[in-house]
Amino acid sequence: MLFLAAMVGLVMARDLLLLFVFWDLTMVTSYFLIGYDRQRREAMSSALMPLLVTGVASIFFLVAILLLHAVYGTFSVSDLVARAKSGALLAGAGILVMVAAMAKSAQVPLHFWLPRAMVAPTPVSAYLHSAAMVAAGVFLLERLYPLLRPSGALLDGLLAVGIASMLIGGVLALTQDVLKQLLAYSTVAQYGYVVAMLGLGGTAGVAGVSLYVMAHALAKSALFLVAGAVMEATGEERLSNLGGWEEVCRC
Amino acid sequence: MALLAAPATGLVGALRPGWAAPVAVTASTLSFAAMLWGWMSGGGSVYLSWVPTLDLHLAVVLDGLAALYGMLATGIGSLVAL
Repeated sequence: MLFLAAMVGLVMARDLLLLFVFWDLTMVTSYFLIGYDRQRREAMSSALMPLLVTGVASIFFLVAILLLHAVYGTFSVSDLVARAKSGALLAGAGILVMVAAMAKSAQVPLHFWLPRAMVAPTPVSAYLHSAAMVAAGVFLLERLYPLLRPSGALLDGLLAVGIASMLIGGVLALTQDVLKQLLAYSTVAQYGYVVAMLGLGGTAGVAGVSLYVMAHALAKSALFLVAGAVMEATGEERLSNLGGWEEVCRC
Repeated sequence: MALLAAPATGLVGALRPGWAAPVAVTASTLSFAAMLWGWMSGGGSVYLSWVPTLDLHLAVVLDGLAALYGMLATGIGSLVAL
């Protein structure tokens, strides 16, 4: 519930510092959710990885916030959008924001934490992948898009990262045998589409992002919950051991 | 609603552990309904000066983007808790 509250606070915050507080709260709560099974040593070490990656990335975000405040004298997103002028400083802050968002949304090359987070209970994975943690990165890019838009190089960077994530995530997903790992790499690839659309820009690009995030959230949460039900019913987590469902369903 | 849901669930969970899950589902569903109602009635904003000398403010706005992501977080949150 704290994770849910942090997400709602994050999406509604219009002050960058407040946004940062909720941003970090999602990071901390995700650590406890991923490492829910404290008896398993693997769970705790796997929970530490996302905490470290997104924690370091959030420092980039904080530096960007302080940089923007030092120059434009405000933490308000609306005021920043009105006052910000295209230039090297805005592009520099944009790069820092982009790195923070890429880490949160598990985009290449900062995608490695997401498959490790699959030790979490399946409902947690469903939530992390569809509506919370991973979506928060893309949300940040959308919220601060007016600050990123003036820099063509930044948009090109988003497009390149998105395409790389689509390709690498997609290929890695095809090579997975563990059901949840496959879904994790699929999330990397699907958010690659979202980031690429942001890189393409324009009204259609940004509208497409919202539509895609919504479609992905509904599909991925359902997929994870079904995967959890299948794993619970069969005791198997490898696709190679899950054949013969047609026969099972007929009985 | 969402901010109140977390301590409410925690408190109920501490007093009666069996009630924590139903309270979590109810609270997240109510949060979703509140978000939907807020969005359908044109959104809104809350602005409170926290530490004005340091330019720190509690500014929250329910616009289209916030409503989309907020409804995903609360809607899928309630389904997952269910």
